[in-house]
Amino acid sequence: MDLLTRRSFLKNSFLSSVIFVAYSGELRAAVTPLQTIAVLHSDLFPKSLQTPPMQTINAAFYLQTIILNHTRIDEDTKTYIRDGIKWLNEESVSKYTKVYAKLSATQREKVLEDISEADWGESWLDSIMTYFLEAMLGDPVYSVNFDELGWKWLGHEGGFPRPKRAYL
Amino acid sequence: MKYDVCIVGSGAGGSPIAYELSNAGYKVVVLEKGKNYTEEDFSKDEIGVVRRGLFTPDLKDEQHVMNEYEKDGSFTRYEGAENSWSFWNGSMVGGSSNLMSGYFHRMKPNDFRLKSTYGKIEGANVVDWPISYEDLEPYYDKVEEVVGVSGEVVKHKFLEPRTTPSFPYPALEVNGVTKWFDATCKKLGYESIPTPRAILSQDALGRKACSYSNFCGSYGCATGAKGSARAALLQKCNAEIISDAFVYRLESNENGVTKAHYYDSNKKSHTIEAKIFVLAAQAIESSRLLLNSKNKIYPNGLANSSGEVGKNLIFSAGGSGKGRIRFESLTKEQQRELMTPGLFVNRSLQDWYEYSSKGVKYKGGTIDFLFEHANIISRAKREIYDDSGNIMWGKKLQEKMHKNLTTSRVLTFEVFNDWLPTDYTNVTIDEKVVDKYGVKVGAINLYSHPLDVKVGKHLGKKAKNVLETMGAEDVTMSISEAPPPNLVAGGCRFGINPKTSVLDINCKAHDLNNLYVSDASFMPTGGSVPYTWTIYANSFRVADAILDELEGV
Repeated sequence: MDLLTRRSFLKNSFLSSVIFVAYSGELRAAVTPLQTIAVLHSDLFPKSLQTPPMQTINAAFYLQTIILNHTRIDEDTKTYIRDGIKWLNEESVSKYTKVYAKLSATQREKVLEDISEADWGESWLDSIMTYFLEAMLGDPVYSVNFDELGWKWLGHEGGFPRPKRAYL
Repeated sequence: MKYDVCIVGSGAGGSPIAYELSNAGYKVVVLEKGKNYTEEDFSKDEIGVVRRGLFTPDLKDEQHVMNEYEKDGSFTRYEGAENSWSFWNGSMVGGSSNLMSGYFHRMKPNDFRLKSTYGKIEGANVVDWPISYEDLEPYYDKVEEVVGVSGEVVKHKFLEPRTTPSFPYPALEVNGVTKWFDATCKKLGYESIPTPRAILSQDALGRKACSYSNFCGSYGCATGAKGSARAALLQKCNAEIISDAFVYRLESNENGVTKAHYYDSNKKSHTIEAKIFVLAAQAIESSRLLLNSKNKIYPNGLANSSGEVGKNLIFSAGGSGKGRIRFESLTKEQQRELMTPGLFVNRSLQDWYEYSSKGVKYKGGTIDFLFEHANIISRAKREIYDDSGNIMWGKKLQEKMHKNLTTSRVLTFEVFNDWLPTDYTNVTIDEKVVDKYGVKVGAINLYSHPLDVKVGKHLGKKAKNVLETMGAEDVTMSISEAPPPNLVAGGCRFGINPKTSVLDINCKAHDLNNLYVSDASFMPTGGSVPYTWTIYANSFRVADAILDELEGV
């Protein structure tokens, strides 16, 4: 899939659709999951001199085009990923009256700490982080891990032969 | 057309028969549920192969139901799809042998006479095999030559007798860490054994040598060095292979099987007629097919007049452990050696294949030592929890991940000991769940005898001691009752008595005169080693018996 197609795919995808966040039965905010995911990714795997730049990992694209459309990921898991994004924002709104992407770094860290202590939160973070790791360290044939920067960061050599096409 | 032989399943249990009989000029057809791949199809795609199950059925299409035995005598039911619990291995031509690591150990002479040697064990259905090690030895030898086993024979306390003094192919290259392992074992008084591998160390048999790709277990081999049933046997004979062919029923009359019915990938039904049928669909699926093939003459399933089909299913007991070797304790040269990718550790210990404790003699087992798998996503994933089990993120996680993955390497060990056959571990048919073809799925009933874990822990502690003495940190082990899905056998025991066994000494059904079962189903006990070499060897033995039958010997 080329970049242009990816852009148009994202444009019409779940991640760019608005979700509405309610608290105590009252509509409080609207946000796109893409905004949430982008900020969440930078919080879970922040930029530093050593780590691969976010755009080379391409996590949001991977989550939307590969995971949420994958034939071998069951519908329950896909629903859980989507619901978790909504719940993360509901937690943010209930705590600070703003969606996750609009919180300060300190506030976001507190929200993450809080949800990680809940069963759903820990489990959801585990899933999301696993998919982010797949994007950072998977074969570039999946349009992730550009220039193998994730592998280089961890001194890893990909095995040969490399896949000719992504398994979707 | 009527074939001479129809084989259901193309893995290590079926392929030696396809190879021997087709090379002897007989018309052989192999029905395989999975797809047919060649070396060109295999890559090191961790996402596809390991994380998305490229070579295993989707559980929503095909699954098992697990019934776990509880202490109060009840069973807890788990549907595979709902609980993401899979017992599938390689669903493809060549079966799971494509994806094995190829750690090859022969069973020992005492493994064939477990009851005579170690006595009756309360709560376990241990019996002697109807054949001896000496009967199977020539076939172990044949596997070394035909499938290709590399290694170095060293004398040790439990070395089994061999026809030939050495392996036909020299040992694979090893990492520098192997020297440290050997020195540690010498210091501890243990006998370090180079692990035989079903991997060619040099070009031979029309196949390429190992390329040390650093990705072996779980992946198909792109050079053909790994002795999969596909690369070593099926690609070296002219047996007809029909892939995407799921056999759902064997039709029989009173005397024998008359037809195999299978669905193709479009769920269209076909039939195959043959003089002889060989079932080798993997232990669980072979029992399932026999039970699902019940008819008016055999209302309890084919080959099941004894009621033994599906009974005494076994796995390999034991577990695994690991320890981390860090740069801090190494010289620069040692650090370089440790991080060299591709080369193997290839060491085993069998010092406690039999041991005594408090005056009681126990059957022990094998410990294999290896590097943690190179899968980078899996290795990174293991770093996301701290020592207290809390999930981590941010710079703290990145620093831990980077340090552990770039300045240390994890050595692991795998323990193999007998999973004792009992009344509670077996295969039946689940009456509620069907697969995508509408066929009732197999139910796997699970129970682990207490001795399985006791022996496994004894071995695990010895392995831990080796790693700790080597200077490894964070040494842990996990020995449990969990059944490893890739190490399964039993369900159609062979034996002399038709009332207590399904198959005769040649693995032909007592009840039917043209049905053989040649996968791991025949094994009454499993030995304390991975099964593949024994499955291959026995299948070559059964091939000789079928040849005798076809030639009227």
